[in-house]
Amino acid sequence: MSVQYEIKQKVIEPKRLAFDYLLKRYGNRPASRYEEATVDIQQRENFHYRPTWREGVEIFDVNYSELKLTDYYSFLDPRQYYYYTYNATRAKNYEAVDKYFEFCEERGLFEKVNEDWLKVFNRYFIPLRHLEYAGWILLVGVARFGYGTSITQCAEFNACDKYGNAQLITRIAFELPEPDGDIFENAKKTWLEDKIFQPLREYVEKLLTIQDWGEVLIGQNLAIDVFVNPLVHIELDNLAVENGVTTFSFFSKYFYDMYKDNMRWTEKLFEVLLSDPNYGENNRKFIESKLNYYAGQISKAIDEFADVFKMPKKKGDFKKAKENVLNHAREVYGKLGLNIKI
Amino acid sequence: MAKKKLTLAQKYHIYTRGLDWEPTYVSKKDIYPYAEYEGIKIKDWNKWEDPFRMTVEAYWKYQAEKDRRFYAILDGFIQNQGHLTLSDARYLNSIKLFIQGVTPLEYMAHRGFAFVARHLPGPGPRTAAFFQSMDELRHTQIEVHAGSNFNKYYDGFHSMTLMHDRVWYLSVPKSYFDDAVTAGPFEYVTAISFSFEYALTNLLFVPFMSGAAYNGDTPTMTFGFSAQSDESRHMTLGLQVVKFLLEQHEDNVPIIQRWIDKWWWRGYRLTSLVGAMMDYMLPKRVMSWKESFELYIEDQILEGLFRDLERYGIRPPLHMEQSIKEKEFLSHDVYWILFSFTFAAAFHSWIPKEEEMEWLAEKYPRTFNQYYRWRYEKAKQAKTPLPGDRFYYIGLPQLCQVCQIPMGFTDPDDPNNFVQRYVEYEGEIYHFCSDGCKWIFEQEPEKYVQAWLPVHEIYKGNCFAEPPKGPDDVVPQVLKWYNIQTDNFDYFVSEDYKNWKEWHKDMATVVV
Ligand SMILES: [Fe+2]
Ligand SMILES: [Fe+2]
Repeated sequence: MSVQYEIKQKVIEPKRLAFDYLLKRYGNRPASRYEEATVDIQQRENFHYRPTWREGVEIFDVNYSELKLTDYYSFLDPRQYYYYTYNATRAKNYEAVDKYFEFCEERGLFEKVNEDWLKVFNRYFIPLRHLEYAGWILLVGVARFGYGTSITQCAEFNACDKYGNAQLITRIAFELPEPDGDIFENAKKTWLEDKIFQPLREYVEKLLTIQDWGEVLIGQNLAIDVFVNPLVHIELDNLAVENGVTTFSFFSKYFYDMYKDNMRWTEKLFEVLLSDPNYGENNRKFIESKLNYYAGQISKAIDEFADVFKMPKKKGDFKKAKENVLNHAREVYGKLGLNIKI
Repeated sequence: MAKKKLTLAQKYHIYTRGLDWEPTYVSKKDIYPYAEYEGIKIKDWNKWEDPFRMTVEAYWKYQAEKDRRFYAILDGFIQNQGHLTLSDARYLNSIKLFIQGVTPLEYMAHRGFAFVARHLPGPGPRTAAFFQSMDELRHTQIEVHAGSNFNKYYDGFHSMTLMHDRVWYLSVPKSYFDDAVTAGPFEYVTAISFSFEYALTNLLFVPFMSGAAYNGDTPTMTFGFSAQSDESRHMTLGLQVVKFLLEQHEDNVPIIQRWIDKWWWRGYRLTSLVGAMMDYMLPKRVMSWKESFELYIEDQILEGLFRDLERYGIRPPLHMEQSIKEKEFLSHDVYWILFSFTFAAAFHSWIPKEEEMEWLAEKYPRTFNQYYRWRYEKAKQAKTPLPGDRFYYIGLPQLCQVCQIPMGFTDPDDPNNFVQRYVEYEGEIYHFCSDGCKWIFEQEPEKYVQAWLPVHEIYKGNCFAEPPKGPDDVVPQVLKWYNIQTDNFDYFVSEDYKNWKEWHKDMATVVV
């Protein structure tokens, strides 16, 4: 036997419309699920012990970076991703990828890629799985050491995207013919030894030793991503098309969309950092000095890719491609009002 | 050339650890500076066996589908005013404890596993840690979203993060996880993945989730079932981590043993709050703390897990014997503490009803009537100036320096006395609730002297909204600083109770 209540249709006035701290911030209105999942979630004070792995810091500490905000929740993700919406969006994005793999298999498209281009592709594309993997480690570091859930959550999802990218490159490689032996071993060797990747690898290995999460974001999201994505997924994809290979364009679009999606939060964050009423000026100094360095380094690093443009039957114009990449970077930095010499 | 055939495990290696490389432009130590100071020796990260094979794309798909279902059920519950069909509004006090005490820990676990994913040099375990970091963010957010609906109608939910950082009884869970995240990456995974996820999760989650099911709380129950597949990944990670560390080097064995000893007692003290909830705070009870301890700890962990670990040179945790001895006392002691200090808590307590006392006496034939019933008989008579027509302990308790629970644990060998231990360290006296907590302190005194003890902080004047105008104003100013509004005192004088009666008075009760 159990007791059940028959609920009459009556309206019960809620006692509160939202959590107290959200009412204080946003006034007397219900909060969105994004706000509930994000704002003021990270612990703030009265930490019991200091980290044993680093001196002079608290568990969560604004001093993990030179970049600072008066109110860390003045940054909110323009995409409003919280765990569910992030995963649902990505699951949906990836449906198209699955369909495309099916399509390629049906038509035998991977086998049909001409051997000539395959050599080019294996040299510049497959080793990027290692670069994306490094991006994952770097961003999960931001997810740990960043301040405030709105920032660290974006970094966590971006990290996941990076690992997803590394695995998608891997999945593509699994589909390709291997005329020259193990495609992954070759790609790792290329990553470790081929001159086109060495400045890039040096750059990323050095970035992996940086503790300041703000600097990591500058080096990764505002530099590596801003240069490598247009170079690989636009310029080199154009070259593939000119050489009669269209199989990978779909993936390039996917990767580029992923990049653009992550630039939405990145650009917003830097906009907020630069316009902070108290720290804006210091943030600007730090961002401009670091970004001048990183953008300069990455710009030099990708010059090695000139070699790749000479490889196919129909050679590409690296100079023009580089100019396009630089223009893209200038546009990104210009929108943020940053003075960067590249 | 035809593609070679690979096993699933080989393929998964390529998808994950195959992405790693040995740096040559910088030293590996500069990338992973925290990998060695704990003294753990790893000979070969390649010996790591992946406890599960999850790729990012599969993760997106599974998790999105699980969440889709969860949010559909939550939305239905909200739309149908599901909170009105709970067994009783008293039930929600467990959920208040959960959202104030546990949800922020889910969040801390999310950041903690991000630390491990960043700083463990092994690409295999890093992948598993990363997925767990994602999962823990999920758990935080789902719990907040479920709590959000209760917050609209009931007290105790409105400020869980602020309260977690400030309120006295919440320093128990907070200090537990602060302890873990301030440890190195290897101790963290031993503490959380192994000692907590593997050894204690069942003891924490099963009572909560079945409690939810028994008491009509569909969102919590749905979350529990939905989180189970996450939890099973976390548990296999925990066991795998510890076995891997033990197999890597014999020097690791005593270190891991020390961590198991420490984290067993730390976790056990933390779950004592669950004991109080199970035995006293669920209007419809599932099983007693003692029964659940016997099933999950004595049978499964002691007889199962630790038998299995013997061959690695690992023995059951120190002080395990003490927790077995305490099993007829623990929940009663802890509820009595919560009950006594409810004037300063963001949940309600109440004197157990007569039939509930009967249940307690039946489940605890050697202790309840003997040592605890009289306290509630007296509590009914004791009048204080505070609302509720019953006893409160007006004053501030002595807290244990390690677990931070007020020192009210009965000595099972001498049940008319409480256990009290102390240590003198650098000219100061530190108090402990048990030999377990004292032992933990002695291992790392320089860490535990840092504890932010809520009662000490009140004495130091750090916990007032405004300076108190006199002795009578001390507690009100602390409560204001805690942002405790109408969240405290006895359930039967609460707004929750008043509203619950009001909402149900026009409802026909149908017996089916
Ligand atoms: Fe969790
Ligand atoms: Fe203790």
